[in-house]
Amino acid sequence: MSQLQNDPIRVIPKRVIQLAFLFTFLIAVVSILFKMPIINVLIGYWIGVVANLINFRLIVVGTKNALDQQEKGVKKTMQMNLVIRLVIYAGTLVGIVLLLGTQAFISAIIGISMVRIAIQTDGFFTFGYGKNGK
Amino acid sequence: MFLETVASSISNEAFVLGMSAVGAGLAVCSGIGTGIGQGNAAGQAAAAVGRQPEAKGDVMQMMILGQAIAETSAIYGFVVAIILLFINPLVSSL
Repeated sequence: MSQLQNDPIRVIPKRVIQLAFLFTFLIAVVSILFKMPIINVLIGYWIGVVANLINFRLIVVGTKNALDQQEKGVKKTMQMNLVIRLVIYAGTLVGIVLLLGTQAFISAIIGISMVRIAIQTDGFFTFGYGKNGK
Repeated sequence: MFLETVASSISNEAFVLGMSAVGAGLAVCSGIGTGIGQGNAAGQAAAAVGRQPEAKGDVMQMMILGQAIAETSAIYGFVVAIILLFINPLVSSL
């Protein structure tokens, strides 16, 4: 098992922050190349990242609560938890598209996908992990 | 007759805006599947913990990864809805 599977609650936010700095550099380069408003784009991206981390925390809290309940009550708890997370995403994205514009919205979409990107890029972080007993 | 009257009284832009709103509503429906799926996964996980309480830590870790991945499909539908409602790419192409 990789480090991510052993302790996702601590590892995922750490990797999201690491990847976010890398993506900030890449987005800044793309913004300069395509003559986009770089400040707005980066603000939109980081707001997306923060919203995504907040919602990941909500997933963790919701999951911990769910596993302490009976099976019937769990479905309702998780569905309400999802609605709360979607409302947070809605507020974030609508605010960004209205206040910062379309380009910032596109970077915010990348920002709110960061947890998924961090999970799917696990292989890059753990290259060679587990070899020779390490 | 009625349809012809309605069609002649609606401008192209109004029609595209209306259809964009309908499309946005349909796009948000992707959240329904995510909600049902996450609820079922959590229910099964709770049942698994009930059967085997000592596996709670492992079940929770795997479930968090699954929930985080599954949530993204709802977000994508939501993003499509916001694009249709606020950025209006179809109206600007008229």
